[in-house]
Amino acid sequence: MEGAHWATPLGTVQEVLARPAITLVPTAPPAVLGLCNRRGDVLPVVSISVLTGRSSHPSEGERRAPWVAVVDTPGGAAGLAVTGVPETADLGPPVAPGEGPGALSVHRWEVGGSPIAVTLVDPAALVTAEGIAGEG
Amino acid sequence: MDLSEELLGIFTDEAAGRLGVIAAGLLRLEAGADPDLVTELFREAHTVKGAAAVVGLDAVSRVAHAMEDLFQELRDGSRTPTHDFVDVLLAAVDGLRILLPAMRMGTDISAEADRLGVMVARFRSGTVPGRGAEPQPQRAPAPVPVPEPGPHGPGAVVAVAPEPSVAVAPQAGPRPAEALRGDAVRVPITRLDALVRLVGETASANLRVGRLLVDRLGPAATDLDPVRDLARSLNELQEMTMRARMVPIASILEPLRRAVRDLSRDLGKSVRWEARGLETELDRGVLNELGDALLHLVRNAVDHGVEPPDERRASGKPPEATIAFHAMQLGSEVVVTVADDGRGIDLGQVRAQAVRRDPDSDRLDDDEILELVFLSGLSTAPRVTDVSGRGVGLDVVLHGIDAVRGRIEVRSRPGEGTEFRIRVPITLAVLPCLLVSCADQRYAIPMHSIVVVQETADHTAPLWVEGQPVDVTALASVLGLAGGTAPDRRAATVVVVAGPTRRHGFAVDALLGQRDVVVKGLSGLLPRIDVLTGASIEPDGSVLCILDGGGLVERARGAPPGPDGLERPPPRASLLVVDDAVTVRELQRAILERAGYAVRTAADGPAALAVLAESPADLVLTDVEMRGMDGFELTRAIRATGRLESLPVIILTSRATDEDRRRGLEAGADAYLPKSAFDQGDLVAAVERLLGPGRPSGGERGSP
Repeated sequence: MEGAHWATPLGTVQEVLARPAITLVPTAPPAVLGLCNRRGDVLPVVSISVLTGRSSHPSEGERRAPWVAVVDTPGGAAGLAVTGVPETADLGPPVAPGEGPGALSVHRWEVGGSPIAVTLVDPAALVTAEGIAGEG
Repeated sequence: MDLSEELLGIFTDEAAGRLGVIAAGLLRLEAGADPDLVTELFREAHTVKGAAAVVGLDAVSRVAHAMEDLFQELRDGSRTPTHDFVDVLLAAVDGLRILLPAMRMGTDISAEADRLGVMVARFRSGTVPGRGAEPQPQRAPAPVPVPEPGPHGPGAVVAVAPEPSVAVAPQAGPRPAEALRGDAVRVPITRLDALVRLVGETASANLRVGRLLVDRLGPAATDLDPVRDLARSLNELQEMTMRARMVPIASILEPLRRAVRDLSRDLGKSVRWEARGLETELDRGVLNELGDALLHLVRNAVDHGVEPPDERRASGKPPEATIAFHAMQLGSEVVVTVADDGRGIDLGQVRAQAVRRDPDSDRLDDDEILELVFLSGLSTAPRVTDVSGRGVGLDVVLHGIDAVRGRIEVRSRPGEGTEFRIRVPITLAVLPCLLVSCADQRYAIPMHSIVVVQETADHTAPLWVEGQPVDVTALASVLGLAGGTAPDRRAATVVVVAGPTRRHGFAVDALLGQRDVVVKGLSGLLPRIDVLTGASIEPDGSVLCILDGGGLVERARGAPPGPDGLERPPPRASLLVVDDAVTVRELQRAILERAGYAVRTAADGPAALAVLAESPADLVLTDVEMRGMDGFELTRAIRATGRLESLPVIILTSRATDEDRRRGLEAGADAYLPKSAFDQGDLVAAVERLLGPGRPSGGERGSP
């Protein structure tokens, strides 16, 4: 997501939607990017960068995110807007503890021979009603 | 879920239904013994007894057995269905119903159930001679809206009956138990919801396929028989699945009838309950909300609507009062009335309470005063009882009706009675909406909240609707959207929406048409969004937001008046408008608030002085001809009050002679504006001349 890399356990991801039409939700908190249609269900799409506290408002790139990862949470399914191509990977052991809401641990991962830091997040802790409302 | 849990779930679902049938039957029994009804009640108790034994709830089985014994005595003629008989059995039914959730959880309820069994057995043996002699379990306060468990929780069920659907008329018609026998099945409501969702999605997919065919084959594609057949079948399927969520209004009647019976007995009143139109069907979700509202109305009617028998006789009425319930379908709505022939609402008392809260209320006519009974904290009861009189009942009713997008009206005549008329949509699943565009977004506004749609040459000015000024705000501004109705374009289409207490106009970019939309709830992960009532999936697969009329109006009251989407700045100054005409007051208030001023109002001179004593203003704008103290006298009184003597006063009046002007200026007015030349620009300009264009609100002003 715009330079930052996030991972979520594969078992928590239901599917990845490609280029879903996202409808703005008027007066919603900044973490809510909008609503999209998931086979007849109205799915909330939320901003990782706002929920993790990296920014107070989603960027324009995030608003136009080409992918939405649908994750399980205790409060129901939600879509995480994703700007980079989602892929699966086996993360090695953590190199540092995670910091911020929902962050479990930080891992080292190589892309094209270069190491990058990937933060593993727990959707159940990251995507909560309180967090979305800005009360987390 | 293991077998025992599943069995307990099945049993409690079944028992809830059968206990509901017994409770309704007991109420009918009280009105007159009917051998068929007695046999039916006996069978119901017998079935509960057997089913409870099967799932290991022996204590429950013993209660049902004791009930069965009493019904058997009715059958063989050794007992008559007295009020005490009905009381004891209703208490047993209530007690078992209260225990159902615990039974479902597998909690041991043997002790509580045994107490119920002993109560019934002791009544049968004559140990308990009459009503109230035995410590009874807490009377279930007319549970609403049983007979089914909660709407969407695990295991929630709705009875699905074949046509004709269940019609539970108290005096005639099919029996309640028919809903639970024969061809009827019980279906988890979550399964029905899933069915409705899938059918809706299928219909949307069909529309997309239709567009594809038209693109490939041209417009003639829609005339192809298979295409038309599929569309027709899908329409029927959609209608049938919607109907599957419908339940007859009779299913919530038993608690109402119980409330009338129990409360009238407690209060020593004689009340006859009449119910018609019970076969009228409503969406289960609507009915659940409606049940609570109706229970409030019925309890209010018994408690302080109808008079005690002696009082009725003294006023020439029959000693037995009547509370009539009537439901009927009108188009896409159901109209429900609850009427009593009691003493009527004491308008004088309501007016007195209203005036204590707002002195201006004294200017309202009787119809307007009557509408105030729905305000929080305002009671129609002459005294506070444990039933009503604390001013919360009708407020709750209004909110309940509002929650299902309904409306409520009240009519009352002194000495003749009161009628509440409720209109609710048949279903919340489908909502007739007006589609509008605003800031490149599409929105649906529910038709039930729309008063009128008007074109206006200047959407920055208040609109006149039915003789009243209505503020207008750009919808984009209220929704916090960039763009939308251009600030430099004053002509606009305005949708006037009714909120719970007031109307407001919303300037939109374009009207896109009217149609029914299938409403889908928003995720529980989202916080409550006041301006939204839900969402819908469009034929093209996109999501359409459905706006909430009440939420929009409330938000608009706190939103910036212009279309710029900026935060409302702090008020420029605090003004007091004094005029005995509500319309003029409201018009001036609207104009001056739009210009950025904080405006308070008063209906006459004394009220104005009281307002100023409470908190000073930066300027007063007053009419001349008012009851009690006219505008000249008010101006003089202001000048004579030390801390107000330099308070600017503008007189705005239809008295436009030179003599009047001279009198006004002699009284101490700073400006004199004739109403004949009234123009909102002149009004704001006159205020600005005295206060300066950017003067911030300063509270107290100009002490010498």
